[in-house]
Amino acid sequence: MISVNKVWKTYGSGETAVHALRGIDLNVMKGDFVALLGPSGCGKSSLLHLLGAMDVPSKGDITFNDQSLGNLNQRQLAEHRLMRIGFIFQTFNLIPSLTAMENVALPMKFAGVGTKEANHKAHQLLEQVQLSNRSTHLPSELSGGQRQRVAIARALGNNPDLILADEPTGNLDSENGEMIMELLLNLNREGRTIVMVTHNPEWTDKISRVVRMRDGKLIESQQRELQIK
Amino acid sequence: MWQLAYKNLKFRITRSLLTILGILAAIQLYVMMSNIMGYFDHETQRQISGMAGRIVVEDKSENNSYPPLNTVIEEKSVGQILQIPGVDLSRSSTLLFQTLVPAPGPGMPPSVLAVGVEPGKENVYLGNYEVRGDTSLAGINNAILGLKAAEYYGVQIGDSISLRDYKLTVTGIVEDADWLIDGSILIPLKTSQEIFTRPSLISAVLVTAAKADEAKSISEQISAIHPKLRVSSSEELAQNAEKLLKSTRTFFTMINSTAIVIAIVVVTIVMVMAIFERRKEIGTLKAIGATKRKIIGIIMAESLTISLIGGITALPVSFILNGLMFGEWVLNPGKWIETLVVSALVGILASLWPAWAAQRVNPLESLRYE
Repeated sequence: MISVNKVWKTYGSGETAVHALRGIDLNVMKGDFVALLGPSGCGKSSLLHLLGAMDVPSKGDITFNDQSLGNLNQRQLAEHRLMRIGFIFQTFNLIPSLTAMENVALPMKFAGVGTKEANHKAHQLLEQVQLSNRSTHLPSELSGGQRQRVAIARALGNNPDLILADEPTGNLDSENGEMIMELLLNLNREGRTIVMVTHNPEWTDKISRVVRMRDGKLIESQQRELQIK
Repeated sequence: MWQLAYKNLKFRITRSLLTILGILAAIQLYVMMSNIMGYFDHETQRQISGMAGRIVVEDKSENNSYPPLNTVIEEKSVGQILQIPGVDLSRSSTLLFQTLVPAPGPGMPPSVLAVGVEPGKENVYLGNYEVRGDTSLAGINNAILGLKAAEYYGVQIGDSISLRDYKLTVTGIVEDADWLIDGSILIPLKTSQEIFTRPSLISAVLVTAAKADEAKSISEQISAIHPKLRVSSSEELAQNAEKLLKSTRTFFTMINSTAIVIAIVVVTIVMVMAIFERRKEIGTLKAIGATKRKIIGIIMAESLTISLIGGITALPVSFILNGLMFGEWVLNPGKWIETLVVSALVGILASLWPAWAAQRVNPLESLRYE
């Protein structure tokens, strides 16, 4: 589904140039759950930004469903992010002035879905993350775990091909972290493709594919057969 | 887009209210200045039309304006003027002007002025305006007051007023006249000369030709007899008043423009601050797929909403202030629409820079952890 071919990402130039990614090759297939693991500064987030079409490679190419992202203009990239990618951030990044339901409905409204339909689907998604009783609450009235569940529901709004999660449990306690991981695993079991950046090796036991990175390179890629519970 | 704008304004309610207050004040100033300008325009035009067909004779050093307030001429020296064939004596008179309360602003007549006029020729000055009570100044102590002059002294017909210890009886009040006559206290010429210690002096001669087409020839004859006097036709006075009106319009337009610029600056500052604080939020919107156009739309909707609320709030306030200032409690739909258009324009112009800045926010901002 997504193919990363010899991708380099360099910040700055000349002697001060920093190579965040050094010739990365990675293929993510439909239905994969990929965990990107590695120490700080190894290039995990830079790779995630490139996969999410928020940044462009300095060298190399990324194709998404056989379409090169390098050929898309800014508007097309925004549309790509809207329709094909679902983002889950470490700090949740909900819009503080909107209620849980309005936050979830927002990407659908950006995609041109009518208010009634968007709200209906947002309600269903909140039910899926067991937060329908909090739909009218502002983010400030929700706990960290609840906010992240709202963010997951928002990421699913336009039924994206790929979900990108950047340390989704990083700001949560272990109980809430467990709950979010369970939610992501369930989404993967339903057939959704997920790429997740994490620091925590504990979570990787449950993930089918673990990619380890160091100094901007992939050093290991493990594919495991997991027993579906 | 509108929902997000509305929700955001509601979420930051204190800031929104303060901004609305700023816009309200600026738009209010705009409306008030427009109203004053409209009043000025209307009253000047009214005064000009009231002067139609008249010839004004005054001292040359007077600044070609009517009424002449700063100069006097010898009464006897102009005696010949009224003897010129073709002059309608019943509609021509010598006049003495004396400022009692100065003008409230540049280009405006005094708020209250005394006008000495030959008894029996009151209409030379008053024109066709209706007078309630006695229309003539038969008695030497009689006075006819304009509406505003009567209000100023708080008098009605039959009451007395004192001008420099000289007691006068109000015998008539002029109904709904132009602003000059509204502020006038009409008294017999001799009485005014005595009160203001101007024996045998006058300010101007107001001449009307019996036939309109003879006005020019009469003007020429007066100029020939009295080369030291300025002879102005009503057309020249009108031109002069128009010139004055033009400079006044420029003055008010400058104040109005300043009010609009202040409103734009207020909204721009607030929006730029809001964008600076909400970079992460805007970055998130872009990360989840909002196009640049969408971001611009959101910022413009926010700016437009806040400006329109300010403008709409200014409407009832301007209605009340207008009523209190001019005594006119009239709804003017044209003015209201103009105010809303100006408010919308403020909103659009104020959003240009913030919207441009917002659409440049990098979506990666949303992934930089706090």
